[in-house]
Amino acid sequence: MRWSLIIAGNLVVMHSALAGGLHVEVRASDGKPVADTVVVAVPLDAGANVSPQTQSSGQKVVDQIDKQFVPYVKPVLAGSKVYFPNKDNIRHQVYSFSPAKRFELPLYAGTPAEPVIFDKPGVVTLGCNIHDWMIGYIYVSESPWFAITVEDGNADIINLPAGHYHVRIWHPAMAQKEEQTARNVEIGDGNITQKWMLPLSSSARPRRAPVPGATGYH
Amino acid sequence: MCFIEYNHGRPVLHRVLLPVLTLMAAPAFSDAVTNAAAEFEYNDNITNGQHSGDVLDDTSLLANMSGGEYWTLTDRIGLTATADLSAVRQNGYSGLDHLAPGLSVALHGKLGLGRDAPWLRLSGNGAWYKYRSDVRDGWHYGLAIAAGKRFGDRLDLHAIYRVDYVEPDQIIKDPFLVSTYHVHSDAFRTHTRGVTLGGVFSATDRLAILADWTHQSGTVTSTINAAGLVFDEEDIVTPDPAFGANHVAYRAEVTTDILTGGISWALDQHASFNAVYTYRYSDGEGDFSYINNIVNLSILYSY
Repeated sequence: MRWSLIIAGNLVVMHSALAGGLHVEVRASDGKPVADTVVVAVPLDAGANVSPQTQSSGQKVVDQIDKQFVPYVKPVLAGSKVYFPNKDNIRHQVYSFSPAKRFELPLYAGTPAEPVIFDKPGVVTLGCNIHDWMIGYIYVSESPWFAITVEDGNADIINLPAGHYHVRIWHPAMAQKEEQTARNVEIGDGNITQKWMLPLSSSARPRRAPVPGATGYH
Repeated sequence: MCFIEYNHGRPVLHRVLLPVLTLMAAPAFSDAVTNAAAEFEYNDNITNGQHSGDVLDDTSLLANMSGGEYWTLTDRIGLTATADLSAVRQNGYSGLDHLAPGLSVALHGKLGLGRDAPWLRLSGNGAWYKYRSDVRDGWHYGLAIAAGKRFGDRLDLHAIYRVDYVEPDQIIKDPFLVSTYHVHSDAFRTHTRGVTLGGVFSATDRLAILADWTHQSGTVTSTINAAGLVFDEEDIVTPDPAFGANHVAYRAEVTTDILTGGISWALDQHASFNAVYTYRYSDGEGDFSYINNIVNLSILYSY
């Protein structure tokens, strides 16, 4: 009896130590890969929501280069500190009106001394009050398990503890609601692939290219 | 024998250039501004003629370049100053070929924070137009105040009040023309003022649709074939050799309604291809009126 209890305990420990990977492929309706899509896996099993070191809530950076936010979409874990260094010669004024984080960095050059803390999950839309075409997004995830697709439309969440997850995706131009993309996924000892076909809206980014006769603010 | 007086525009240039150079030397945060355009244009009535015998059409190639600085003066106000150069090559009437170096200054103000905040823009420009046909040489000045607001991701509306002046270099006082034909003054000295209402609709990331309506009043220059005509003493007419020996230009008071519509296709973040159609209807005293139909194809670059 004593030996069997010990064996059972070891099996539980071994099961929780198993880790797999989630490979995600996101394509638009026309089959083209969709970059900048955030993939979030929310653990459904109690005790699985442990921050992996690779997704820590440490310092994150959203640059301003050539009057653009770089990267265009930045996923962070709730509670993360994000710095907004300005690498242009011109001053920027970064702001957000999003419910997940309202803030304004008064006109500045270089790197502001204090980072902005994003402690509420949700999508934060960034803008610059000097350059209206500048737009960027910070996706604040409630789960430490997230990734973002690159140019080939693929993303990988690695070392995902075995268990059940609620997986969803988000993209700035997606035509549907984020929750409509959600699906339950079971992760075991190995990699599994999930594919999404994502309808995109026709316009998402403010235009920077010149328009004849336009007399805009800048 | 032709007597010509020259207007001296240099003091004006000096008054504009000095503050611009002072600003450019100031240790403010600034960014380089570069704009360029290559255009093809068809105008079915370049003479602004009323009667079919006077209406001449032509195509032209245009190139514009401007470069300067943009300063963020405060979190709501910016200033742009550029040096500009435009060149026009007419296909049929080479007398209208011209170069126009100039300066532009614009003060931008934003009434709040965010992309949807209303904005104001006060701008002025001056350029010296050097034509192949010297009689048209002169200074062009413009002042404009514009206001606008974006509504959501797609619609951007604006209103503009603008005044323009053309000050010719030469004032012709030709005794023969005055005594024979009562030709005695400068038809190329004009001024207009007008209000524009319009907007840009972003149909997609790349495609924008633009539309403007302008109501303008002031003076315009119209050119006619004057063979056999005798002008009244009060007429303001000038020989206009750009269109031939018998052509004279005269100045008329008109009101003009201008409708503009077009599309703009973003080639990348800094360049666009544009196709714009403009309809102008000008109506003056008596039964004087004329119409222009203008098609403009352009590639614009901005950085």
